Amino acid sequence: MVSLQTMSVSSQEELKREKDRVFEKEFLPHINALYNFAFHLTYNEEDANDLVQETYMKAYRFISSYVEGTNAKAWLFKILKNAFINEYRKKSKRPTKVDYEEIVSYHDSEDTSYIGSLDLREEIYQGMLGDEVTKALNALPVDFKTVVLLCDIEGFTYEEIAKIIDIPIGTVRSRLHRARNMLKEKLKEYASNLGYKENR
Amino acid sequence: MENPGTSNSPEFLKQVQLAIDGALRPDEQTAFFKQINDCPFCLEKYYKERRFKQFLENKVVKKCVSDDLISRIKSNLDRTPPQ
Repeated sequence: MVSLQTMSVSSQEELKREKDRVFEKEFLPHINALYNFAFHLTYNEEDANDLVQETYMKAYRFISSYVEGTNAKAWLFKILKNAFINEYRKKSKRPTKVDYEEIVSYHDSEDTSYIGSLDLREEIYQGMLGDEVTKALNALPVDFKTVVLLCDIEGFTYEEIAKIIDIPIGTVRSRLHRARNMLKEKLKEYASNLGYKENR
Repeated sequence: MENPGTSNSPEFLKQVQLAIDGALRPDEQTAFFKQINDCPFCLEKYYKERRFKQFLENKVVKKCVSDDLISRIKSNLDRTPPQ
């Protein structure tokens, strides 16, 4: 009896050591990227800390469903995104997330003119500071900001983004396109408020 | 040479972004680069969009996690049994 107990404890310890090794080797190297993503989603350091901590705790708890050597970064981003949505829904006390379809149909209705106005002159925005660009990005609706962060900042492929946010690849494509256009509009507004002039 | 209208069409801009993101299939990519090489306005649009993507990557503020949070996570692992 004593012997069995000893074996069981020993194998549990071995299992824990193995989980800790995977955690350390495959999950922790992505912590800065996750924190950066969390910060831009929440725009608040304390909330970003909580979100990252929750993500890592969940990842550890469900580590057995992770296959070593696969895409740990995308897996962690998916956990974080889900945690954010749950928290966001709780805080906003709304049953559904941001009404993406409403935004899309608005821009669809003015698609041609909207596209035409997007040829943002580079000298207008190249002089902008990081903080100003970050503010413009953070002013986008969360679903649009998310795809820009995942693609342009974190370098995920469309396929990875589709898996992280649970949408079809075609939607990733169109959402990203619209998000960049919206961001250009925001940058133009910010640049204009900062006194940059557009000569067109 | 194509006219500037092609380079301003919404469809072309979508193709440009797919090309920059590496999301075109090999055959689409070949056709796309042939098209922009034959059209200076299209080529300029491609470079402009590429610079915009680089601009975002470089300008958006990158935040780093604190050592304190890493320590907190590690110390919490002992209290979180894996399932």
